[in-house]
Amino acid sequence: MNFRVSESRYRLGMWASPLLAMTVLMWGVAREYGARERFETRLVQLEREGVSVTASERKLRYESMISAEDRQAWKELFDAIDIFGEMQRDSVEGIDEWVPAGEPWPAEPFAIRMSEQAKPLLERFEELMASEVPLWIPIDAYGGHLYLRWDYGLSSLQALLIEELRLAYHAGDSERAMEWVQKCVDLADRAGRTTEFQKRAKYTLIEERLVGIRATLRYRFWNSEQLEKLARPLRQRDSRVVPVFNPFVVSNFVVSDPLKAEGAWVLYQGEHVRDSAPFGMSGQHALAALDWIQGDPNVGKRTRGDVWQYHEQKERLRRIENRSRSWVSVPFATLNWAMRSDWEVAESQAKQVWDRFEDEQRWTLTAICLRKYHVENGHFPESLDALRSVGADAETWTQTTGERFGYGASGYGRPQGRMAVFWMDDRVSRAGEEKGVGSIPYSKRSWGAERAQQYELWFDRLPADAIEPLPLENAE
Amino acid sequence: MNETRVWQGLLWKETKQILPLIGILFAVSTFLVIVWTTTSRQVNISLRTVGDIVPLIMPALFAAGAGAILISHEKETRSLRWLASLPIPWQPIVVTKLVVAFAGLVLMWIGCGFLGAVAGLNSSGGGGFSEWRQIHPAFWFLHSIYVLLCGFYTAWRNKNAFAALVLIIPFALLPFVIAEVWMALPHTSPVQYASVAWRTWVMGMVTSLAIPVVGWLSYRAGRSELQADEPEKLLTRDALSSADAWRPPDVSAPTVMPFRDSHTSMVWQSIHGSPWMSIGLSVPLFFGVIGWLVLTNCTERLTGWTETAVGTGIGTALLAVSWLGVAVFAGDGSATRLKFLADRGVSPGRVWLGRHWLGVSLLCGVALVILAIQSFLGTASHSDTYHRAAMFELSFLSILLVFVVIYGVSQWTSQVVPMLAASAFLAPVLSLVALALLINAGVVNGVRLSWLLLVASLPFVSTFLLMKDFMDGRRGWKYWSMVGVAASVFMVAPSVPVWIAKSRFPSMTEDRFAVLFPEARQLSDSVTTRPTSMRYGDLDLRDALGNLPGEIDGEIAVQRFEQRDYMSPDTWMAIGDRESVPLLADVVIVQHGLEAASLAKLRWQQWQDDATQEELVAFVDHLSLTARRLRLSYRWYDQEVADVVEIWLVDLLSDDAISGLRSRAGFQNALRQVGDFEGRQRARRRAMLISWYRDQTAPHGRRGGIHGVSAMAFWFDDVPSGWRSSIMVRGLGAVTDRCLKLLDAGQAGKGIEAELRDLDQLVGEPGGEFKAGPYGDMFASEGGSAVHAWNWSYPSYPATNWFEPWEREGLEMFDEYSGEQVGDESSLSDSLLSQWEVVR
Repeated sequence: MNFRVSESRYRLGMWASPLLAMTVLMWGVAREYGARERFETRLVQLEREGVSVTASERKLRYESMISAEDRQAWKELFDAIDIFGEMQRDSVEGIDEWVPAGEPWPAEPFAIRMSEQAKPLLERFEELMASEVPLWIPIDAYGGHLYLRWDYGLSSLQALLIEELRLAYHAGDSERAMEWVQKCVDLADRAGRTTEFQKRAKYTLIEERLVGIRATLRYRFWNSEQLEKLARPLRQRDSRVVPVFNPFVVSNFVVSDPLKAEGAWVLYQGEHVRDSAPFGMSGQHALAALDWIQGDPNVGKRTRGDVWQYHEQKERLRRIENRSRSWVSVPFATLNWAMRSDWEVAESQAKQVWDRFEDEQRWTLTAICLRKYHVENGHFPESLDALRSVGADAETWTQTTGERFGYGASGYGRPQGRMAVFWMDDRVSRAGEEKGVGSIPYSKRSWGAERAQQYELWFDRLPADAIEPLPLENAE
Repeated sequence: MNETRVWQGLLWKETKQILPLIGILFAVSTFLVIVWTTTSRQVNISLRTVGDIVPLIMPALFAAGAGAILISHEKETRSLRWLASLPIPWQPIVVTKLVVAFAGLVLMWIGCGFLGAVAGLNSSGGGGFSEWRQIHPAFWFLHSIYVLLCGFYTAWRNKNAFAALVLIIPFALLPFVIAEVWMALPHTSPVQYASVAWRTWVMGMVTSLAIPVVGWLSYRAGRSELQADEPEKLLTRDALSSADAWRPPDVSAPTVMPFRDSHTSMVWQSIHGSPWMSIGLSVPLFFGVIGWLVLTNCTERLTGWTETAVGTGIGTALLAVSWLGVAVFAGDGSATRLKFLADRGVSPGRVWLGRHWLGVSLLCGVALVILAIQSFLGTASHSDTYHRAAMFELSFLSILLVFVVIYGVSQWTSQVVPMLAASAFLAPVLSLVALALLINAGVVNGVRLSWLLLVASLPFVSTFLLMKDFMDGRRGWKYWSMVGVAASVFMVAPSVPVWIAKSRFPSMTEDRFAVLFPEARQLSDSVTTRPTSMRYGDLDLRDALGNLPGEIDGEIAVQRFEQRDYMSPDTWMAIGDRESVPLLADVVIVQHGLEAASLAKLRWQQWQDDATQEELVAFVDHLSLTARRLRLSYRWYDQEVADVVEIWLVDLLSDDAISGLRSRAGFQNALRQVGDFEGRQRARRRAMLISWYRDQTAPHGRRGGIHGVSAMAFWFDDVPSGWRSSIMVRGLGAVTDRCLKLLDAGQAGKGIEAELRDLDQLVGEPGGEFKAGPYGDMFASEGGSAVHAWNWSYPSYPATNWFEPWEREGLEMFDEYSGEQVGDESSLSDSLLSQWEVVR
């Protein structure tokens, strides 16, 4: 071989990779600087869009909507409710059961006693509601982060209202029960009136209320007019808009000043982020984190098999993580899950949460319609399609996945439609269950029957009927 | 020649050759044990996993290096040729080498076992490499004999010592590979549940069978190396023609003309000097790349042979990186060979560059290949908890830095340690220790990356500066002192930024210390009463055996409810009845006590009857007493909780709804408590000083860690955890200093914003910004409002509620409602009130 050619090849082999490596490093450093500048630009843009980018702005935004006096009034009430909850230290048999009138309820004496003790709390609650004072939800501040304690006291407060509902249910007093339901509705409405983050508290309250309402539908209790009143807030819901909780999460991230690098000799930064970014966060990762948090919550349609995330969201997040690849960040190249966890850059699950919430509302509304049909016709319908006569439509009995709820009414020599079972999807994909909500109720399945507690509703069920098979709407 | 003398002489020679290797390996083992026992606990735990298998690694390293020392080294120095020329049979030469090596191996096993026992290392337990540690030591002993014989075989067969070392690796891995293949085959059920035991059995069988085979091969290789060469075949008379007599002898083809560039020549020499070495070092790098990409991209769980293959690939790749560094100054890069270039005036710098070029190019190429493939593959599909790659992707710079450290320390080692066998095994160990130390400095101690890059370049600077002496073979005092200085700087340099940062950390000045310490000591010595802790009353009503009842019916539940007397303050905050005994705060108990008091207030507001009034008065009285006794405590923490209790009392007392109750004794006690402005400042000062004093003088193990007395660790959350504990006492001194300055300024009626900002900065700006934090205006109540909604975010930060409006309100209410003729105290409170506008 010509030694000149050989020498050229050796020279190429010698020089190519080190030069290329140097070029990659310099380019990587340049990308970092560029990313940091773009991050600063995004901060300015966020501020213009109304997102709080400093701690004081954020605190002002979320704490200034209520006066100190009103805040004090709610705080006193929530504190009293908190300690009231501490008073229930024993495990009382049947305390959480919904026992219809005429049936023995072991926990009844204790429930009545607690209701008496709760009176001043409920009276104070009614005073505050009557005075139109905005609902205050406290904010915890720790380490520069603000944590909105959106469930602070509210669930406990609604729990008191639901206990009164339970007592009224057991007493057979549907008028009194309706009053307590209305108070729950008012509480949720008041919670949703202030900042976008408090709306999340509203939806939690509604979900908890729906659990109680469904329990009261199992046996005949409400009349037709009352059932319509129960259905009204659900019919009037706006299911098109997915609430966006991101501004608070974005704000928490930018306020933590992720690109801060204090200290000339050593780097001073929070312990919680040191493991994943010991030499400081990369500008590219910070940009990717912003993209991540500000995700489009309306993306995605759930199909069977998507347990935690929708496919479109997975792809979107994968693209963001891929784009975040830095050549010079030490040690990690991309915004991986450890970094996201440390920086509290949560995955946007608004669409999943919202779809689940929507399904619960439709399920409850359909259950109300079933009971209303039974009240008006004396029996349960053979199929959910018959519910059109009580104001339901196809959207009501169809889940966000496009599958109908499971349903079946009894027959077999008994009066038609004396008993019914109605269930919704537990959102878990299991081998062999490819039919969505499935063709048999959870309680009849050979495994996974414990899901019946949460996802199944029996109407007018008596123990002797438990083993009788039901003709099911979705049966094969 | 006397045969006995031959054997004696050979045994003596081999023993003298092998002793330095044994010595070095023992010295390294001892050094590593010292490093592990003296490093921080955190590093120690992570290194311990590796440390526990040192007694197994060192004999294996000896076994691999014995062949290089006894055979390859003699080949290089040509003493083997000289031995072969002597009138002694070849058998004693070969056999004595084997015997001495075997004896050395046994000695290593005994010595390392003893060292492991003394250092408390054991191979049991879980953690990393747990499966390897479960393999019986008997197998490792057998394996070391096998590796010893493999090393002899490759050393006899290869001219190049380095190539011989590299080729041991595939031999050494053979039993493991066969075992993995065996385990991957379909088996009957009993086999698959005893994986480690069966694997050990299979490997042991393979090794036992291989030992005689390799032993015979190495014996035969030694014989062929030492026996006389076959004579050249001469042509017979008939084959010769008249022209043959004049034909010149066959000579080898003329050498290729050298390259124009000397660097290129040296790279050519590096590659072609020993092709097997070049291949042997490049192939593991290739497998390492594959293993790394699998580790960072495969979202299915790696088990069985894939896991072993990936781990082995990456491990041997890192070994290859280290040996690339060793190859710079060993083998063809040894001083004796480079002296040839030195004698011909080639500059040391040029030689240094030329020797490094292959390794640097190769490593840059590997890192670029990883980057290119990873960029092409993209991130492993975004996944849930159950489907994630085993390892996160490292950046291009991170991979390069790992290579730089391992390669750099290895090339440094090979220049300093002239013996190939020693440097080949020392280098990987030292480079991994160096990598661990630099990672520790960065991650745990917070040292900046730029500083660590400087430290990582030190091995290259050292070898460059000493290149001239190295090439000339001059290893005098100057050489060794420079090596010593460089090694010391390398070990110490990562800690220098920490020392500087610590020295700059805020602290109390010496003058201030001199003034405050005697006062603090006097106050501490005057504490004579032991404080008591608060507790709950009998909330759970357990039976005589301490058991809780199971599920009970409603009637019994009502009875138990009544029994607890929830509306008595003693149920929630049992503090005893001794009024002059200091109290230690339990923040959860206090929180529940205040909540119960809120409930009592609400009940009275709604029902307005005597029973609820008495309940409320009892709570107020109880809380006043609690606050008073908390003020008696010497802990700063109790003063902060006392503030929270007094704030609650101020909120209650300022509520017009209870105006009719203010004259009650319990409420009067509360007014006195919240109005005692001067007493509160005295209590704060006293508690800060005593806490600081006791923290300073506590026994070594407790300093900086006494709850309620020492600083809270999260005040200095920004300080790297590696040295945070060492600044805790100093930090409390700085906090005490600032708090006392705040007290002085507040009591004198001066503005206190500067002191508050100072304090906020010192404890890490807990609110993210001064304004939004616990020391800023946004935390305090708005001007003019009498209420202050306290929250529990900040009671563990010092002085968050000092000189806030509630103190003024307490003073005003005491003045207005106490009904006491306080004389001088009244004028005092007036002057304080008039100064209040300046304070905040």
